[in-house]
Amino acid sequence: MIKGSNVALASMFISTAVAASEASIFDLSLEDLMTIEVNSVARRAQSIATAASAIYVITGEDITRSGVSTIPDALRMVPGIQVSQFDSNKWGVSTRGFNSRLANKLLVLVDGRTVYTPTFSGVYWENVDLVLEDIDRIEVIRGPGATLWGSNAVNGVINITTKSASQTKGSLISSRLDSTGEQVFNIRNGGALSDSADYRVFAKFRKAGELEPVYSALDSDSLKTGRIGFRIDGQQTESSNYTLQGEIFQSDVYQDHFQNLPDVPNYQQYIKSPLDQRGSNLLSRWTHNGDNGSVLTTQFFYDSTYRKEVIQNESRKTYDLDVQYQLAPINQHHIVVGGGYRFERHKTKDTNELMITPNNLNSALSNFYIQDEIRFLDEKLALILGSKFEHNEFSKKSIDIQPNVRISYALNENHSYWAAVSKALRTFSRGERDAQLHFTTLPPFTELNPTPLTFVGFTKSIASLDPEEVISYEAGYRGRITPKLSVDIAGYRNVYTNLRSTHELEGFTFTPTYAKIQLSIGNQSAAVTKGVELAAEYNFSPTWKLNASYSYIDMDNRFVGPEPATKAPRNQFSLGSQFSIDDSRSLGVWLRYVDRIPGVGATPSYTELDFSYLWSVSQNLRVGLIGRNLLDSNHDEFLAEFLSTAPMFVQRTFAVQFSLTF
Amino acid sequence: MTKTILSYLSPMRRGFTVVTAVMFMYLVSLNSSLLAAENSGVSQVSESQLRVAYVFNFTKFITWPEGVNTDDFLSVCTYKAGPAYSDFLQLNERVSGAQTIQVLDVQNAQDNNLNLCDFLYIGSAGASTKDSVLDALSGRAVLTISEQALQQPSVMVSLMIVDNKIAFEVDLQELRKNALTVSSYMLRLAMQVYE
Repeated sequence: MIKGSNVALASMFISTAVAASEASIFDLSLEDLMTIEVNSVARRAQSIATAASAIYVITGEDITRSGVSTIPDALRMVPGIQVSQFDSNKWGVSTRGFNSRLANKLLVLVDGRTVYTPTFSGVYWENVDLVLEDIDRIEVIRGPGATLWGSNAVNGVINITTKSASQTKGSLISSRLDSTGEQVFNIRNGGALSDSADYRVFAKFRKAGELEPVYSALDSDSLKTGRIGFRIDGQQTESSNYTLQGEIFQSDVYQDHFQNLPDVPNYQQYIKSPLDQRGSNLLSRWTHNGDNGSVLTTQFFYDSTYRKEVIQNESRKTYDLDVQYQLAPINQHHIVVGGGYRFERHKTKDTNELMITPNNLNSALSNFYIQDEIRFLDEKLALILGSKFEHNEFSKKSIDIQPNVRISYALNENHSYWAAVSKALRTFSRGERDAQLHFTTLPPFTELNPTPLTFVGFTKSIASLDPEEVISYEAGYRGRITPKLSVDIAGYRNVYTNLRSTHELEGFTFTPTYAKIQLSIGNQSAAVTKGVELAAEYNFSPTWKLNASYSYIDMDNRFVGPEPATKAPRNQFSLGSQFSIDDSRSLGVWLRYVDRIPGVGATPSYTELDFSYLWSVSQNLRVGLIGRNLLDSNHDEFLAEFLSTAPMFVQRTFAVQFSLTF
Repeated sequence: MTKTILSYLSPMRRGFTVVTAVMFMYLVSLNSSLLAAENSGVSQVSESQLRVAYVFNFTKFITWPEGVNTDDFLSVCTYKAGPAYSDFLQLNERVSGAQTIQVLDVQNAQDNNLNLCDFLYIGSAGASTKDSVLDALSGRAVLTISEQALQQPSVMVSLMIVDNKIAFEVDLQELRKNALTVSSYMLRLAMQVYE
C-alpha cells in the first residue's frame, strides 16, 4: 500500500534535488550533488531531470536557509503547493486544489510511514513535527502517485526523509524564539554503536506562538508538544543494510471549538476544547542488494495514536508490512513488484457531536503492485507501465485498480519531456462511512429557517461506496535554456468522479425541542480541474541564485449538496533570492502572492515577504535572524472546515535562532 | 475514409485483438535482445562523473596560503583514478574562480607532474601504494582527496557512499598543517569534520 522506501521513489521518479536538467553536472552546487542518488548496485546516479512526473525536492539545507520552523511553512516553497494556516497548530496543505484542514487527496509519509489519518482522510500537520536539522529532504510529487504509493495519493505525495544516523554524528543543540512567543528547543546526539552501525537520539520541545484570534472575543490558541526518538542505521553484510527508528510524542493544544447544540438558547457557540494527543511509532527497514542488480526491501512499522477533544475521542493502532522487489534489469526492462498488508485497530468514544458505529473496528488492507520501466533509444526514451491492486474493506469494490502509463523523452542533454495518464482513488473514511456528525443547527425564525422549529443536521452513516476517482492527464518539460537558466513546466487536466456528495433528506425525527434532519453522504459529485505549474531558477553567479514559481488552477466543481470548502487560489506566485554575502553569511529574501480563494471559506488574496539572515559565527555555531510575513501585521489564510475551531490571523513575525554542533 | 483491418472486426473483438497484440509485443520485448539499448544514455550520470563534479566543486572552496598557487592554472592531478580519469578530463579548460583547470595524471612518486599539482585525487586502486606519493607531497600545499574513506593520515578530504549518495569527510587538522583553508560552507556540508 505505502511505498515509503527511497528505492521505490528512485525507481519511479528518480530522485535528486536538481530541479533542472543534469545537462552539466559540473554546474550543480555541492548541495545539489549531495542529493543525487547513486543506485548502489547499478552504481549510476539518476536525476529527476528525466522523471516522468512533476517532482520537486526541498533539501535540509533549503529548510535551514529559509528560516521556517514548521514543515507546512517549508512546503510553501514548492511550486503548486497550497498551504493555508488556520491557527498556531493547524494547516491545510494540498496541491492541485481541494484544500482544507483535512485535505484528503494528498498522501504524506515520514520515512516511509504514512501519517494520513483514515478517520477523516487527511493529515494532522501539528503532529508532523521533526527536528528540522535531521531532515534530509522532502520530495513532493504533484499528480497521482497511486501506482506505487497506494490509495489517497490522488493529487500528490509528500515524502519526508530524515538523514541516516551516519550523517548526524556528534551533538547538536538548537533553539528558536519568535515574536509571537514560539519556542523551539532541539537536542540530539549521535555516534557509532559498533563498526557497522550508527545511532542518534533526539528530543524536541516546541511551544507554538500565540496568534491573534480573528474573532476578538475569543482567546489565543496555543500548543505545547514534546517528542523523543531514535534512529539506528547499520550495515548487516556487504550487500544488506537496515534501519530501526522510533519516537514517542505528546501534545497539548488549547483551542476554541465551534459547537453545534440542539438546546435552546445556545444553538451554536465556541467552547474551550483542550486537545490531548499522544502517539508512538516504530519502524524497521531491511534492504538487500543482489549481485545481479536486484534490490529487495522489507519494511514494517507500528504506529499508535490517541486523540481526545470535545468533538472526538479515538485511538488507533496500525501494523503495516511492505515488501518490494526491484528485479535485475531484463534487457531494457526495469521491473518493480511489491505488496503490503496493513492491519488497524480503531477505537472511538461517542461525543455529543460525533458518533462512530461501531465504536471498535478492526480492518485490514492488502495490496500488490507491479511496474515496468522500459528504456529505448540509448535510454533517451522511457515508457513506464504499472498498476496497483488493492483490497480495502472500506471500498465497495473487492479490488481497486490504480494503473498509470508514463513516458519520458530526453531530447538531448538539455531538454526533456514527459507525459502521463493515471488513475488514482481515494477511499471513503470512517468519518464519512460510519459516522453521524452533528454538522449544523438552524435556529428558528432565521433566514435559513423561518419556521418556529429548531432544525438539527446530522450526517447519516452509509454503506460502503465506490471510492473517489481521478483520471489525470499530465505533461511536462524540464530544460536548461541557458547555462544559468533552468525551467520546469507541468500542465494537467484532472477529471474527478465519485466525489463526496451530501444528499437530500434521509431521515426526519421530532423531539420535544427540535427536529433532527439526517443527510446521507454519497459519491455523486464530480469536478474537472486544469492548471499549469512553472518553476524557474536563474544562477546569476555562484553566490546569487533566483527562484521563481507560478501556478494556475481552474476548478470546475459539480457538487451535489452543499459545496465543501475545497477551492484553491487561482494564481500563486513566488520570487526568491538566495545570496551568499561571503563564506559565512547568507541572505535570503522571498516574496509570495496567493490569490483570493472564492466561494465557501473565501479568503482574500495576500502578498507577503520573508527574509532570513544566517551567519556561521564559527564552524560550530550558526545563528539566524528571520522575518516572516513582513508586509502586513496580520492576514488570514483559513478556510471553513467541519472540525471547526476558532481561526487565528497569521502574523508578522521576527525570530532568532541558533544551532550549536560539537 | 480508409478502413483498417481492425474496423472490420466487431467492437468487442477489436478491443480483444488490440489488447492481445499489445501483450504479445510486450512479452516479445521482455525476451528479445533486439530492442536492447546500450547503456549510454545522456540522461544518466555515472558515479565517477559525480565524483569529478564533487572535486570540481571543492576547487571553489579552498584557499591557498599567500604566494602559493598564484598562476593562471589550477592543476587537478589524478593518481590511479582508473576509468574515472577520462571523466576528469572533462574538467580541462573549465574555469574555477580566476583559474583555468588543467588535469594531469600522476604515475608514481617520481612523476614530475606531481610538482605541479594543486589537487591530488587518489583512486581506490592507489590506496595501498599511495603513501610514497603522499610522502613526496609532504610540506606542499596540495589538497588531497581520496576516492574512498581510507582513514589514512595525510588525506584531507575523503569521498564515500552513504545511503546511496556521495558524502565527504574533511580532516581539518591535515588541512591546517599545510596552511590550506576551507570555506565554512563546505565544512557545514561535510558528513564529518576531524579537528
